[in-house]
Amino acid sequence: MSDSMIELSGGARAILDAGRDGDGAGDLERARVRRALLAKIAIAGGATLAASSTAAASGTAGSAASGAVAGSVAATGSAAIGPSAAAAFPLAKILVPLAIMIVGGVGGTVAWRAQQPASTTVPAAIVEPTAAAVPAVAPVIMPIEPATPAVAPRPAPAHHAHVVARTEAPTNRLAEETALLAASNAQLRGGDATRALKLLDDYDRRYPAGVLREEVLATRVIARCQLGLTPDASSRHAADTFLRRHPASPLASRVRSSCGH
Amino acid sequence: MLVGRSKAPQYAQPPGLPEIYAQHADFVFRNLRRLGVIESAIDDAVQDVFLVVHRRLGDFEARAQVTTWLFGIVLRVAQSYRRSAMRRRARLSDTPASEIDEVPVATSESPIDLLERREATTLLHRLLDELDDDKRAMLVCIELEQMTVPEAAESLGLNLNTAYGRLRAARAAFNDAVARTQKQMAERGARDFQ
Repeated sequence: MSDSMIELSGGARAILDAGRDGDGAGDLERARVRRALLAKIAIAGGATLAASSTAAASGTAGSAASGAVAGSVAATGSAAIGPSAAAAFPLAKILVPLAIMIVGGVGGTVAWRAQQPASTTVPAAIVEPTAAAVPAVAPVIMPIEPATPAVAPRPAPAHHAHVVARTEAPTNRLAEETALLAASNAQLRGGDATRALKLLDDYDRRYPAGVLREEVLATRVIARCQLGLTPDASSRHAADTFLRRHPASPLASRVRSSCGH
Repeated sequence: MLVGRSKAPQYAQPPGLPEIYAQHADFVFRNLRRLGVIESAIDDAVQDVFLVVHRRLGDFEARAQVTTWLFGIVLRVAQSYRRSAMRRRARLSDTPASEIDEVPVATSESPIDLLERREATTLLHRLLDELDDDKRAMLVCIELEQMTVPEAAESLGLNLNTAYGRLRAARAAFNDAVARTQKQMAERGARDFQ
């Protein structure tokens, strides 16, 4: 088979060699995406947690559909999110602890649990975490760079994710914050920027120092830009402000592309 | 610098997401770009790849090469993003591709080095753009990632005979694309095309 193999021409080989090393990622780029990936996983987990809480409140069995996770994953991604990633992610079992941990992990370390999701069911123990809700599997600690100043600091930064995973109040609050943001993104994806903005207004009223303020601000800018066929001066100003305050935000590219930057 | 096989570590146990990200983030970035994902979508595409990786870590256990497995995921995500980008470009037909498809900057480079690298990478991307998706993926696997044909076949889900045939076709198409470009540049009086 290889006897009849066509070889590349000298010019083709030279172009491949010259262009081979130009596509890699720098340290900053890798760190930025790693942080965004953590946030995306955390938000997906938080929305699932919220869905589970709602089901429990209405007397339904406390299991969350994996579609809730998929929806929130898509909500936090770009409009061009791939179908493979937008497909149902049975990540609930690992994502919910991650959503909890990222709150305490801001500015410190976040644990990425390497365990495999065994089912799409969210154990009730994780919705309201207790010591028993923390899996016995040792977490893999992955350092992250400090969060941007826009993320509100926690009053008592945890030295270890386990500590935060056992606190209840931040969990519920994060769940509510992420659910609101996910709902707003869902409206945005559905083309209803007005409703998306109302949900963001609701977020601002309820969580003036919320941990997802940077994401909310970016979503607000994108929604405002989406309202007009071409971004008006006010929207452009909001986008400029966001990009100036959060130049390294993982959401900056979305803001730029949505607002014609 | 050769990349790909020489960088792929062997794992005694299935790696976790942090290990895979640390070892292979660069692999994912560069191949998404080579497979045509525009720069403004790269961050999201990389995240999608690693979300899929996280979900499918169990599939990896018996595999010797993470990159072989990873490339298949990268390919599917890249194809999805390219389709989305094409739809978006159709809506924003007045946006030149050059404005949204830029080569990333490495700040340690001198301006001349940066310019040369940008030109080389941009030219490579334009030539890859002339190939269909199947040939493009095969060429990236073999000629840029230095995979063996059996590894490329596994990444792309092909049998070995099909893989050899596709490599032959991919090389021929790339040679043709280079020849066409050289001819066009010569006709325009371009200089310094070596």
